[in-house]
Amino acid sequence: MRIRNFLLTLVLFVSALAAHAQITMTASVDKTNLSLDDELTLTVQITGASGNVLMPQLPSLPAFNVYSREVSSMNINGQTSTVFRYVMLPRFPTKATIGEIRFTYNGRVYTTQPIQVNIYRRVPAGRGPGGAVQQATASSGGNYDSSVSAARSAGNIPQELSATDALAENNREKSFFMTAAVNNTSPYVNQQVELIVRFYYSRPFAGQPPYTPPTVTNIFMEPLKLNTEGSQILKGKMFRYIEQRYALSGVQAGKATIGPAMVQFQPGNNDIFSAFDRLFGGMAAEPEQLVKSNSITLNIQPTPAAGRPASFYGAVGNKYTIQAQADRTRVEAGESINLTITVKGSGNLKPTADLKIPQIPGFRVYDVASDSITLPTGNGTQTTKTFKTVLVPTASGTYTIPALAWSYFNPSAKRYVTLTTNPITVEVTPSTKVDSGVSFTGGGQNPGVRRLTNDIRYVKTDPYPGDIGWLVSVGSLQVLAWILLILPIVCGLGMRLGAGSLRAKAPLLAAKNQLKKAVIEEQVADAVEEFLLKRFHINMGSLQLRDGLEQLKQKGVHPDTLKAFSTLWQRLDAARFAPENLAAADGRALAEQALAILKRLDTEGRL
Amino acid sequence: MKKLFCIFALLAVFAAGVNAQPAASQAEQYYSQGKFSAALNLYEDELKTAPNNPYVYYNIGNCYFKMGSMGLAVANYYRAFKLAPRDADIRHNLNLALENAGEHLVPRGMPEVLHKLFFLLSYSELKGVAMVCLGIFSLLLCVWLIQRRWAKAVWIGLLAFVISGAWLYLRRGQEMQSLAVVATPTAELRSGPGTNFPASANLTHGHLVILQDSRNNWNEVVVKSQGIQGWIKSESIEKI
Repeated sequence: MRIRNFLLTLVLFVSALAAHAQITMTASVDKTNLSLDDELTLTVQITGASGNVLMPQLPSLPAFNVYSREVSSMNINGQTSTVFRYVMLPRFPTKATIGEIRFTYNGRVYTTQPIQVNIYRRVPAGRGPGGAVQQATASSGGNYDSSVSAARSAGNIPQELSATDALAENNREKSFFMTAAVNNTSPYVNQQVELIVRFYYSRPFAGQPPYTPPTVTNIFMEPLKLNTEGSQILKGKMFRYIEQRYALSGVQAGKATIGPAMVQFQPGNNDIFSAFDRLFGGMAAEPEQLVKSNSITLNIQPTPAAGRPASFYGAVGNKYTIQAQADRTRVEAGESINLTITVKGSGNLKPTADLKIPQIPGFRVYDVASDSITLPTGNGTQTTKTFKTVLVPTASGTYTIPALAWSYFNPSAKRYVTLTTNPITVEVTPSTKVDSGVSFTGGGQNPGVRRLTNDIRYVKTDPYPGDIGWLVSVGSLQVLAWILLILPIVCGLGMRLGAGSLRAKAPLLAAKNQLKKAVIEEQVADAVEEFLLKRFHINMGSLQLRDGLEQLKQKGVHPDTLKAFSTLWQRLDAARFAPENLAAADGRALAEQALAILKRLDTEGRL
Repeated sequence: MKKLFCIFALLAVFAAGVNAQPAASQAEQYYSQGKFSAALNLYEDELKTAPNNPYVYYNIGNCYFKMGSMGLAVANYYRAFKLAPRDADIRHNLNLALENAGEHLVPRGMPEVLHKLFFLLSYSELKGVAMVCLGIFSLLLCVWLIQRRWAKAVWIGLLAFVISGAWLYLRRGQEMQSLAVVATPTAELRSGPGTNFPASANLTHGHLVILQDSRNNWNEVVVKSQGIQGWIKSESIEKI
């Protein structure tokens, strides 16, 4: 009996030792770096303790408010594991220490190692919570935490989105509802607006309900990130919500509408049957319901025309930067250079026009190809837009790709801001390739001559040689033109009226002059003879009177005139061979008689 | 006193000549350095002393071309071309500036050689040629009238006079044409002299227009290359 009692005691002791030896306690947090907007989950797991397990004793936590406790236990391979989960909200930025957590079991005290946690105003970039998932990414019936007894107030809701809270407050009587809110209802064209759509629920629902995003008009909409989850207390009632954010930008000035988003779901139940149902992996389901968010109307404003620079391509936002980069700066003539211009900033650059690259002297510039990437950030999006083009230098030399301007409208300052790229110097060496370079003028050129570009010729430095001076001088003499025009007319008229007849009249004039001076018959005879010779080429000195009269007749002289001439000539001929002593008065009368006859001959006779 | 006046006059002429040369070389220096605006100022100063120098207009046109003011470049090249039409550089630059604006110096269908021949002489020179032809013809005609000789020469002289006269007449038509060029980057052509009339066409800088009428800072024009007619604001054009 003694032995049996001893063995029993021994077995119990060994069992107790074994049981004591199997108890382990661990404490862990889901993140060690968090911001004031975050919540921290502390998990304490006790394995090996059976029966009623007391709550572990938390140390003093002045940096946190513990608002949720959850206990769960499970049995794996006959070993009980109890998990205590505490959801805590940080109170102020500090380097907090979660001290030893104490757990007493069977009179023995177990403790955990202290845990260091850094609390920031905002989690610094690149210092994430060590791979821990901050928030769940999928919503399901199982994600509903009915044990949540306290909640933070509007934890991660941006200040400008307080409209969401107001909407949520109005719907707090419902178990399920949706809200939609934007941070700006009067944005400029292309200015980014953030839309937050939330599905609130205070009861569980089954499965993953289908979500229909809002339909929009006159708006470019892009989801920012995967849906997130949170909780909010509305008038003492705890709600969980699933949130989806969108980046919106107005396409044209005017009205823009955001239609309702929808969720179709099957609500769960909290009654005893449903708990029983859940025990077997199911859920007491109600008929399907559909909830819709509110519609929103935006008033899209145009960017001001005043002061709008030529380099404005439609970007609206702030904190933009620009950078130009060439893939190489030493090339041969005819080789290509890839020029990349990168614009970064907060806002949406997708709908903006492409940067126009002007003709760069010395280069052949090809069309620009653009690409943009929008990534969500802590409070909005970061857009990177790249413009790529190919430049081909046409000749050797040192060239500069000039600074390129790109402007955006800053809605906060309500003014345009112009950014410029850095100029890039490119060294171009002569082409070493036989058939390198690009021909910019078609065919028809001499072989070996490749025309690269067609520029204006250089300025003139020599003095202007002037027009052909004497031609200009002659041309300026207006009077001369009139003289030259009149001269032939004068000649024509003169010849018509006088020049020919003047010549014909010359013998008569000469005879007239002679006869004026004649006082004796011989002088009269000489004058008449000379007239006939000059006027009619008849030499009366070598002709008989009869022959002379015949020739005059042939010249068209009237017979009466011939008769008078014959009488005159006979008298003169007689006087030549038998001179008379004439008085001066008779001599003058004879001369006048002769002049009258000569005039008649001159008039009637032909040349 | 007269002597003193003459000395001062000579000194003034000399000083003007001395200053003109450095100004021109300074302008060229600015131009070669890419300071086109500074070069333009100097050339425009030079124009005040030599208003009929085609080379100054040419250089001004070059500055405007490099500064991107294609309309003003065309206007100044055209002025230079009218004064020195057979200068190859002026013709080249005017042609290039007009082509940039979508215009053509040589009318479509006309052989370039014929256009060059037509503009072989300046208008002043052409007047001189016509005068010489007239003189020769007049004298030959007088000889024929008096002597009835050199009839063939008279006919040749008449032909020369008719050709030179017709050439002068056609060139005079060009000279008398009130040409202007669109100087602003864009200009609207409207159906009436005011903004209340609808715009019928948009013109870019460098387009040549023929002035028809003017009213209240508006000019009625015909676009030379298109043949379309309308009213354009006076400040949008530069008269040549």
